[in-house]
Amino acid sequence: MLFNSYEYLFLFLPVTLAVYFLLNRKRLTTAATAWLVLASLFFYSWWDVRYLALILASILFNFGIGSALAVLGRRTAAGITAKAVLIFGIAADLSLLGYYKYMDFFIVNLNRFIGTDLAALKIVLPLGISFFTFTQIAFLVDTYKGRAHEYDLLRYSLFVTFFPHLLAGPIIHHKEMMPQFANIRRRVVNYRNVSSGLFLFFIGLFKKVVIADELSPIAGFGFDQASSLTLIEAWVTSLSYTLQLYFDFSAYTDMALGASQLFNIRLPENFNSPYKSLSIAEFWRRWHMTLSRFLRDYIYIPLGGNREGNVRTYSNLMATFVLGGIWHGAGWTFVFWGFLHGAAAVLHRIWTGLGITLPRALAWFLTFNFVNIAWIFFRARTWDDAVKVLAGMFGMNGLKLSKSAAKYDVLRDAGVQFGDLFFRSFANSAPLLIIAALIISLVARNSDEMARSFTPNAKTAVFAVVIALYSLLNMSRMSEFLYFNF
Amino acid sequence: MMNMRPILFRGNTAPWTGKKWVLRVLSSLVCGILVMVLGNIIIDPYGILRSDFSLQVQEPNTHFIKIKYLLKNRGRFDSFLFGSSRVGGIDVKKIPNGRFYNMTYSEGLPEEHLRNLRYMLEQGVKVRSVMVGLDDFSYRVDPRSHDFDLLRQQHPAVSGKSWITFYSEYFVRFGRFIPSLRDYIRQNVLHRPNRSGMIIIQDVFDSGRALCLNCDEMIDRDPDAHRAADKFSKPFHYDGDHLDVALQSIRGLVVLADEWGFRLTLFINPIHRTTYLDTDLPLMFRFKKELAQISDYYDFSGLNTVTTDNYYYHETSHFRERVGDMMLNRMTGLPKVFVPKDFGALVTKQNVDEHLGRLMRQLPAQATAADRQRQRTVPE
Repeated sequence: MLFNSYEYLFLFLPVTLAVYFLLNRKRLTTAATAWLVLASLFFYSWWDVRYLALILASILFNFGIGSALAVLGRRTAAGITAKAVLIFGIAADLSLLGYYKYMDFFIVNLNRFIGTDLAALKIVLPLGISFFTFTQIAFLVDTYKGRAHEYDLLRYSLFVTFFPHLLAGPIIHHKEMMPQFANIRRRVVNYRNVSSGLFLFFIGLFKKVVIADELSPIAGFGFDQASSLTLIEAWVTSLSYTLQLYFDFSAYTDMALGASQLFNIRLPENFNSPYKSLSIAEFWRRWHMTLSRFLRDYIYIPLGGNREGNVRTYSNLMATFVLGGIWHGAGWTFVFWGFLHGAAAVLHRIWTGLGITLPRALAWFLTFNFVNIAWIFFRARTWDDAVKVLAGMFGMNGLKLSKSAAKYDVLRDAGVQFGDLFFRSFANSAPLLIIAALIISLVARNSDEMARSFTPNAKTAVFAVVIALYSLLNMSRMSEFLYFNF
Repeated sequence: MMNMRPILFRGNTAPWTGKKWVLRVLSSLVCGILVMVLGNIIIDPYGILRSDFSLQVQEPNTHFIKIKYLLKNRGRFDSFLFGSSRVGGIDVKKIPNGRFYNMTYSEGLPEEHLRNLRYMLEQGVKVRSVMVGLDDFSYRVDPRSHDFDLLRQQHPAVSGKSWITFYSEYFVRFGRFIPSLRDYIRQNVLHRPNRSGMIIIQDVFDSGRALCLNCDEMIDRDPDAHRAADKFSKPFHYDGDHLDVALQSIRGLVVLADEWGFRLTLFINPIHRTTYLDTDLPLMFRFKKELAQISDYYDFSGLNTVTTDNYYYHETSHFRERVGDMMLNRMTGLPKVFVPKDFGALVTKQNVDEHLGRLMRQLPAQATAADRQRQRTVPE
C-alpha cells in the first residue's frame, strides 16, 4: 500500500489510528500492539500477499536468533559461541537478501564471464526486503553487544513491521523504538503530536505529488527513451532525476515520520538538506542518514574504521561505499556509483588531511555536481544510457535551442541546432520546475526544520490545508516511491 | 495606523491547542474535498456514473462504461467489434450473422481487447464472433500508459485496480474541473452549440458509437474545401515500440477464440496517408509480417484509393462511415456498396511477403498514382 494512495489516506491510516487508541483507552495494551502488528502486516501484504510468509518467517527466525544471543550473552553453550550464532543469523539474513535481490544478477554475470547458459530465475524482489533485513541485522548485532534484547515476539514483530518505516525505512534501532512503545503515556492520543505529524505528513505528500511526480516523466524520458541528448536536454534530464530522487525519498520519509508521530512514535530523521552539502562527507551526513549510520556502525567501524592508519582507512571507506552501492541494487552501475562515492570520500579525506580548504561556493559547486553526475549511474539502466546522458551534459551532442532562437545569426554561425527540446511536448515548464525545486532544496528550510518549529496556529493550519488539498486533488497517478526498488 | 496584515493572520501567532488545529484542518479538508467530489459527480466529465449521455460534454471513458453496460446486459449482444476510436466509423448493425456491439474506445490496444474479452467470457457473456481493428499505434503505445488515464483506463474488475482508487481518481480531483465546468455550463445551461459546429451524440448503449449527426452534411456541402483543409497535413504521430506486447496479446486473442469457440477476424484499419507516411514504416511492415504468422487478417492500410482521399476522412485519423461500409463489404459481403479494387487485401502467411512488397513499391510513386485513382472513384 502506498502512502499516497486513497486507500491509505482515507481508510487504512484513520482506521488503524482510531482502533489503536481505542484499544489503549480501554487498557487493552497487548491487543493494541497486536492490532498494530496486524495492520502493518495487512499494509505489507496489500502489495502481494504471497510475500507475507516471507516476512513472517524472517521475523520468527531473527527473533529466535536474537533470543538465543540474549540467553547466551558472551558465553558458550553446547560448544556454540554467541559469535557463531550471530554470524549464522547474519549470514542467513544476507543469504535471503542475496537470493531475492542478487541471484539473477549473479546468473547473468556467470553466463557472461564463464560462458554458462543458465536461465535467469526472474525473481520478484519482495517489497522492503533490504530495509527489514538491515533492521534485523542491526538488532542481532545490538543484542550480541548487549545493547538490546527483546523477549516478546509480539513486541519484536511490531519493531520490524511498524508500517510507517516497513517499506523504505528509516532504518531503526531497537533501542530507539521499543522504549517508546513501552511508554504508557504514549498510548494516549496526543493532539500536539497529531497536529505536528499531520503537518509533516502533508508536506511529504506535497513534495511527492507536486514536485517528485512532475519531474519523473522528464527524467524517465531522458534516461530511457531519448536516443541522444543535447546539452540542455542532458542537464534537464540529470537535474530532474537528482531532484526527483531527493524529493521522492525525502517525501516518503516525511510521510513515514508524520504517520508515526500520530501514534506518538518518533522515527529518526533521514534527510537534512543534503544538496546544501559542502563536501562528500557532509553529504553522507545529510543523505539517507539512517543508512549512513548503519554502514558506519556495522561495516565501516567493524572493518577498523579510521583506527588503523591511512591506507586501511581508505580501503575501509571504499569497501563501505561499494557495499552501499551493491545494497541499492543488483547492477554494475550501482557498484560503480558506490565506487565513485568511495573514491570521492577517500579524496576528501586526503585533502582534508593536507589542510586544503575550498571557498564555500566552490566546495558546494563541486559537491553538488559530483553528486549529480554520480546519480546518473545510479539511475541509468545500462552503461549506454549513462554515457548518453554524460555525453550530452558535456556538449558532445551539441546545443539545441528552440526554433524561436533561429533568428539569431550568431547562434546559427556557432553551430547551434534548433528544434523542440524533448520535454516541451509533455513538460513545457520543466526548466521552471527544476529551478523551483533547486531553490527549495538549497535555500528553503527542510521539512524536518519546519516540523521542529511547528506551532499549531492559523498560519500553519492554512498552510497545511492548502498543500494537503492541492496534493489530494492533484494525485493524477499513484506512483511508487523510488526507494521501493531498493 | 491601519493594520495591514491580512485578517486571517492578525493575531495568528497565538497558538491553538493541538486538538483545535487538528479539528479545524481536518474539517476544512473534508469540506474542500466534499465540494470537489460533489462538483465532479454533477459534471462527471468522463461519464463514469452516467446512464444518459445527453449531458455529456466531452468524450466519456467507454473502456469502462461499455464493460459496465455489458455486465448488466449480458444477453443483449453476442458479437463484438473491438478497436480504437477509429472503428467508431463502422456501423456494426450492418454486419450479418450476429448481434454486434461496437466496443470502440479511445486508443484501444490489443492487450486491452484481450483482457476485456477474457473478462467478459468469464462473466458469462456469450460470444459468437469477434472482429478486432488494429492500428499503426497498436504496437507503439504502452498499455500501461492507460492505467491512470481517466479517458482510457479499464474497468477495475478487468485491471485489478481497487474501486476506491478508481472512483477517487475521477471524483477526488481538481485536474480539468474548470474547463469541464465551463463546457458543462456552455452546453447544458446556456445551450450553446459546439465550437466546431459538429453535433455529436454518444450512442453508447445501442450502436456503441459516437454519432456525428451533421458531419456528412458539412463535408458534402463543399467536398473540395474539405479535401483541401489544413488538418489533413497534420499526422497523428506516435512513438515507441511495444511490438512484442502487441503480438503477444493478439496471439492471446487467437488462443481465446480457440478455447471459447468464437470466430475471430482481424483487420488493420485504413490509415490516412499523412499518418501512414509519418509512421515508422519498417516497424509497421515487421508488425504485418509477424501478424501474418499468427493469423490471417485484412489489411486496409497502405496507399490506396481510400486512404489517399481526404474525402473519406474526418481528419488524418478517423475514417467516415462510408469507409466502414466498404470494409464490411470486403470482409463479410455486406452491405452492398462499391469498393475500390485496391482497398483491402486478405493477408495470409503465404502471401504476406508479396503483399508487403506491393506496399513498399507504392511508396515512391504514391503521389501521382493516387491522385489519378481518386479522380476515377465514384463517391456515394
